Amino acid sequence: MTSVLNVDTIAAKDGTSPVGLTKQKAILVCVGFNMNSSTLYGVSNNTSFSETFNASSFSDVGTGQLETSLTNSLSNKEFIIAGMMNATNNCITHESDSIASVVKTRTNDADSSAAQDNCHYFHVTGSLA
Amino acid sequence: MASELKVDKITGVTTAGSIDVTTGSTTINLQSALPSAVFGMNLNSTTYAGVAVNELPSNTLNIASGVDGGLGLARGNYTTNMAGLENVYPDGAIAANNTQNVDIGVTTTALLATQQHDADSSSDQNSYGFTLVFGDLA
Repeated sequence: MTSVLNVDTIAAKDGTSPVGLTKQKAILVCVGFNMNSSTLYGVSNNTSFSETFNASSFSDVGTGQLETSLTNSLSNKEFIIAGMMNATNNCITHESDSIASVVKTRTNDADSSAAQDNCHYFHVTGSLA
Repeated sequence: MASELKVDKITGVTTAGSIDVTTGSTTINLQSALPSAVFGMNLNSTTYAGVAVNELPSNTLNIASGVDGGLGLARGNYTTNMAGLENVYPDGAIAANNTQNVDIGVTTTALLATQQHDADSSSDQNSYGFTLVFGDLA
């Protein structure tokens, strides 16, 4: 039997924690990570942004190459990822060998085409394992 | 005591499509924080993450079908149309140094049109890219 709940506001029992959703595409992973040697937005080299969620650890595996291990793995590799990096004329892309528990991203300088250590910003939607 | 609410559908009372959720000491609109469409399409002849050429990944949302519109032109027909065109479209693409952008001149409320480029050469290319759409549904 289907049911409809009519409300204006939903909160977790404690009033502040996020509410779990099913059968909806919420953002499942949100990452900000600074690989740049300079401190950016108060975040030093090889440190994650405070608003990052569902990421347990990070690995610097090469110039511009970041591996993000997830706290809660995704259900498969067919997730959708969108991202950004800091200016100017730089590019962040998704490595083709990510797995459900580790998201791999790469940053390049679009001017020179060279790999570049910079800020990785991305979020992922899909399904959790 | 922890609690779990089990329902199939939730609707706002004041406005059917508007529900606020508490986060910290304030509230945000739930629908605004969720993408209305999630699109991915592989135009490349190589299979990536199990997604073959001209296929869509299993995690798309509100996309009825994908269309290969030409070199680097990945397009998705919405299942439910968008209310307008003033949406927000974050994008992504596979490595390295590639981009996918919304093709704003072709996109309509029924069609999400994107372009895939190689940033090294600035040329169009067939790649595997992703786009989210944040905005109101029709």
